[in-house]
Amino acid sequence: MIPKKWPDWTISPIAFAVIIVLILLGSIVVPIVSGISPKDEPPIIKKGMIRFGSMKSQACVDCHTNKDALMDVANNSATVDEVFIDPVYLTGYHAQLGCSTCHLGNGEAKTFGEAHTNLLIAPSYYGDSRVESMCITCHGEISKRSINTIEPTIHDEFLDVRHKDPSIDRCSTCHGQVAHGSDPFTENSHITGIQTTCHTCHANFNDQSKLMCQDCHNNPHDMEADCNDCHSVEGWAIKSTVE
Amino acid sequence: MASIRRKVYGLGLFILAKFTGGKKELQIMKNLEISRRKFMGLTLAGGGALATTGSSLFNLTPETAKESSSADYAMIIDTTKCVGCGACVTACTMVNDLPENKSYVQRIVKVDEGKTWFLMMSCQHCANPPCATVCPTNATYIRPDGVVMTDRKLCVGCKYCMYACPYEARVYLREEGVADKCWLCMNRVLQGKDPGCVFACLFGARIFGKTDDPEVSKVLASGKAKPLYPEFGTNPAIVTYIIES
Amino acid sequence: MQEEWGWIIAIYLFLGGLGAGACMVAVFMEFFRKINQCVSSCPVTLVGATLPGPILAIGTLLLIFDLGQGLQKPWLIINLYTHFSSVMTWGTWILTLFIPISMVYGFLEVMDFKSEAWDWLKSRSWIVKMGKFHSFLENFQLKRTKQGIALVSGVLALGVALYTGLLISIVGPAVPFWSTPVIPALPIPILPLLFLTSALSSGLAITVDFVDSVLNHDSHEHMSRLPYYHLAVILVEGLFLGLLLFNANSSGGAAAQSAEAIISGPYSILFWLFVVGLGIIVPAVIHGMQSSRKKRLNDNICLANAVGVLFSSLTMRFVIVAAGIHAIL
Repeated sequence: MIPKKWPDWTISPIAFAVIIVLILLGSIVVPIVSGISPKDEPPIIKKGMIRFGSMKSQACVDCHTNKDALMDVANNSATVDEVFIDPVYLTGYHAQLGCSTCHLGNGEAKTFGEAHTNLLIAPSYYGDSRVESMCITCHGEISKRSINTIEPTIHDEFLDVRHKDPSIDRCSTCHGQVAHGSDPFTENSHITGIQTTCHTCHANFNDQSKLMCQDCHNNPHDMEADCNDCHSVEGWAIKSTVE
Repeated sequence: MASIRRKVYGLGLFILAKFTGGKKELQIMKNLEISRRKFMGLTLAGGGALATTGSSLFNLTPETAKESSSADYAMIIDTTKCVGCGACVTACTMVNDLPENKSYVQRIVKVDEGKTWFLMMSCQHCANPPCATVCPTNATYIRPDGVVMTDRKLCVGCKYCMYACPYEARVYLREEGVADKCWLCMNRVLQGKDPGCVFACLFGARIFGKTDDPEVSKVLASGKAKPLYPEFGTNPAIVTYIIES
Repeated sequence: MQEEWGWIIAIYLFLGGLGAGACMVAVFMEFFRKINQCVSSCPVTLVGATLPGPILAIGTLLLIFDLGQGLQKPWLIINLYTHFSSVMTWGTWILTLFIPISMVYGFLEVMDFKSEAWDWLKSRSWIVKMGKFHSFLENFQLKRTKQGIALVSGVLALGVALYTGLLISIVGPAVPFWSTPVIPALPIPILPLLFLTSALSSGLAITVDFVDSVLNHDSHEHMSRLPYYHLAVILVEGLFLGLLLFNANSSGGAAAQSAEAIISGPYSILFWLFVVGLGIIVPAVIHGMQSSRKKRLNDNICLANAVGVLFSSLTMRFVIVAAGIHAIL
């Protein structure tokens, strides 16, 4: 098979060359046939990672609690009122996590533009794919967690329907602005949420001030927490200090 | 028994004969009626059996802590309190200066009969760590206090430990070229602080301390904290989980 | 979980198995062929002796390229020799011994094969000047020494073929597919045995089949039962492969997932076409025909068969490494 004048010992280098060619051939064929691509780094995990500590949101707080600073940028008092946050509302559990935890952006920036890059104005918005809501980051597969599947009561089923209702596109529709500015006894948004849900059946509950959390919620977040731990003025006081 | 001795003797003679070309040895060998094919088969079978049983032997003498349950530290993860927020994952990334998409803590979502819970997985600091056994340079080793440590200066990045760990606790850091894992933030612990993940948990799902610490020993004594997947056989000594069953 | 060992490791395993197999075949032929044929030496043993050294050197180089910090700071590699509870340390020692020894064997085999080369070397003026060394070479028992070194080389080659399988099967509960046992009751893993037979099969392909089809040479004259042995090796390899997948599938969990990925998943084309088709079925048919007809088939067919067996061995290593899935947490 090899040219006759080639001596016998050349079989050895020929064998070696054949093996090298095979390996090069395999390096081309095998990846194509098995459909593998070069090893990608795992994607940056957004779900399940919270920026650690509210220290990283100091720039947000410095500006948004200061009406003068806001006026410098907005030049419009209506806008300022919308984005101004009373510091007392930042003492709650959720605010403790830091603004950029849910709103993204850059909480250590020095300029307006930098701070508002990649900003999420409505972090609880999920559209029709539940995964985009930042609330899901902590509150998990909430539509599964709220269901008692062994003996579902009518409330369980209702909650299930509500959480999967396609016309509701953000958690804050029912749960109000729990992060900041939500005093459940005076703030409308939370009560509005209750109106659109519970009042559908419980139309007698016209006197809103008498609607207590535990009338509807029975340990809603599986956290073994009392409602008052979060939803009362005393409960808002900071429970742990971030070092 | 006698036939085995004959075979071994014949083997030796055969080797000798080949070296010296002595006809006498060949004659003796022929008299012992050992065929060459049997010799070859014997060598192959013997070599194969030796190597494969050698592997089980080595499993009996892996790296072990001095006394298997005498670890000095304990980390208890209470999955009933964990809401899966992942603050511990990020804290670990930050405290250890890891690249943003890597952490020594893994967040695993488990759904059992419609109920969702979160399993935060990291190095279990086993008493029989398979990663320490398979590390060819001894970069991963077990300390007397039970903590399994990795010496980055010795690691060559062969990634054998990543395949050996049943809990997938090891992370390959491409830039440094080493495979590292949770080391209980020993630098912080020795300063009296908590590891990053413990510090970050706002829901009190992680408890860490020495085993003689009153709070820790109370939880351990209640018997609710158990090692994870004991069927892997690696004896997790430091990390235990409270899981509602 | 990041799966890190990829194509480079598959190539290394293939080269390791091939080199070890070729060496074992050469040693086997050296001792057991009919000595009155093939004047002094034989191209089959020539290939089998000269190939493993360079092949495994390249394989080891590939291994080093797969390292992380060990590539940036090569002096750390010396530590690989120290930790004896690790199969990787055993492998480092075996490779370090095998590569030089098989190169010496290769060199002696070349000298024996081409006596003109040996004479040429002995007559070099700088050697003649070294009186004692020159007379040592004149009295050198080439064949005997070569056979002694061949034996050592063969034993080390067996070690190389087995240790690669052992290395990945010892991880036990972490990657259940790789530690699949021969029989569910016994703790003996099947992978080292599979790799051994695969190494022998590819070794036979590159030595006997390749040499016979390229040169005007017939190994059957040396050993009439050779096609039977070859057929036996291929069938045993097929048996181990089938056992591996069957046992993995019946153990459930991650092992069953791996088996499924190979049989009907992303690796199925590679597996059925190359590993089973080219590596088991086609060679079994060809060698079966050769055994029954007692004469060789067309040269081109044999050459294609040999190349096919090599390619299948490479693909098999890749499929097994890539399908190693971690235990489900």
